[in-house]
Amino acid sequence: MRLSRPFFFGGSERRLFGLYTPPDGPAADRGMVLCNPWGPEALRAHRSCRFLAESLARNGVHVLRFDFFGTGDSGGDGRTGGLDGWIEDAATAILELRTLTAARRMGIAGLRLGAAVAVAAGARDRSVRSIVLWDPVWDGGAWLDELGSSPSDGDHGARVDRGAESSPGEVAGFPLPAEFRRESAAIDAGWYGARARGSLLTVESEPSVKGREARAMLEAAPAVRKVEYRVVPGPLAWLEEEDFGAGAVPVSLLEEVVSWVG
Amino acid sequence: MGRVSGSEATGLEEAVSFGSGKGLVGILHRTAPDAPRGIPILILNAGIIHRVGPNRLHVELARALAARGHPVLRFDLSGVGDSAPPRSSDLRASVMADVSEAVDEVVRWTGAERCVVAGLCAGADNAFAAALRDPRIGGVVCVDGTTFRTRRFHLRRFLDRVSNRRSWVAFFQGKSAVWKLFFRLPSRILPRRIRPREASTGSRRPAFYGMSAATREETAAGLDLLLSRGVRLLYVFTGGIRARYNHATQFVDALPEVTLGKGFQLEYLPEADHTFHEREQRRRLTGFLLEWLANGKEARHGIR
Repeated sequence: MRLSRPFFFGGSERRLFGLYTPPDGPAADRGMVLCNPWGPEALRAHRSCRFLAESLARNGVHVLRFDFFGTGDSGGDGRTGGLDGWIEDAATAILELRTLTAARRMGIAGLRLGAAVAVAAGARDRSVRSIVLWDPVWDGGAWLDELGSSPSDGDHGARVDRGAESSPGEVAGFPLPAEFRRESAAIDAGWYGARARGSLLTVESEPSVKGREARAMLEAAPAVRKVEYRVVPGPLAWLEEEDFGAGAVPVSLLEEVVSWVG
Repeated sequence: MGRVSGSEATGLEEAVSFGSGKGLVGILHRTAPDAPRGIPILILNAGIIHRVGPNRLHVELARALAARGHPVLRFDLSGVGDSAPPRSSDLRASVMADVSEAVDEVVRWTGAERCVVAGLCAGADNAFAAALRDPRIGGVVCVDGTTFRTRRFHLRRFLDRVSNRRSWVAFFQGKSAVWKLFFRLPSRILPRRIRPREASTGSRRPAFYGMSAATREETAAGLDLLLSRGVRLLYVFTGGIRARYNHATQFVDALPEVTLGKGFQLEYLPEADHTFHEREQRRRLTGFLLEWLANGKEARHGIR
């Protein structure tokens, strides 16, 4: 049975919750930080992120999952801050994993909005050699609209005749600070292209026009050494399966990621 | 308890692994040294959503409770969130063992003799079932747990439907449940020997997440037992489950044989959805809980 170790890290003003999953094998020098999606997508994808962490660890990788400040178990109430702060959080997580372990060859992976964070944080840290973008949010404005208009299915998630609007300043039940809204709306293929560096894997559950555009941008980015683009059809981890509040685990896609990380 | 704190962790929240094999993962919310000392509280998973809770509800609740002096442990049951897989295929037994270990920890950690267990949806059913087995559980908070339909429920549902435009649209499109009933009618009114065969519906016992929920009779007996033992009960229902619960007093109406004394309190939040998407509704739930805890021994029997 593989047990992950829960702990808090970061400064006292910005405490972050992390789960470290140790690798099989004694002298692993590879590490991977996983960046969550945001809001309801993070809750639903939790099982998939755990599956990915444990699969990577079985392949000899030190893995750190963590919650951005103001989300999950981390400190903060989510009403302030935004993408820039989360990119800093991811950089802190990379440093924490290096400090905690013997890992020196680092990687970072992110799902949905976490992919945008991963590409930006990975570009800042020279120890990061591989970046995995898993079903990235290619169009931040469209993503925000989608979140604001997609009620859950079924009796369990039913709103009370008010659509998906939750509260002023919130979307789908989560605080959406103005700064975060502004930053997210600016995300597009060019945003990724401007930040990407090193080796990248872009893996999507379904082919998308935006994904193809982004691929072209990433291939043309001067700091990018290699880009691989794969489509592995399967369930969308961040969407609710039935009314359980959780998504299904896209096993084939995650095996592809593990194989690429190698 | 295997507590692991980060290098600069100075807050009152602590990540913990506990239970046999340290397989259960949770967050302890400690209280400030100068805070009043309140009864500790366990928050159970809502279905298979991890310990953060839907819309981060459990985090908000835990922080509000800890600020009022109630230490809180919110954790993942075996097989949920970040905890280890269940130790047996009997899920109910596994859940009960997990809750018992969590009570052990919280009692040892705080020095308290009793604690409160709270849960939403399947978490409510688990909290109720755990209290029946563990005398150290002195209070139970059930939010949108198992409930039972009454004549008044059916009447209200009927009136809701006939006054709802969407019901009529569905009726004329042939999608209404009325049509299903209509086509099943022959199997109900014809003599048995000439009825069309219908697939067996099996057990009528409701089930959540692979575990059967308590029947009406079991719930009534359980309430009697808990109230006689002095366990305080707070039941909250939301408008989000109006397909199962549609008026304030339905829970007590469905259980007329139970004498609900001052240890029982029922609240209805018709404006809230099942997973508390609205901040205001999360605040109201927190308010009910804090008020109920503050009332303590002076608890009243109340229905709002």
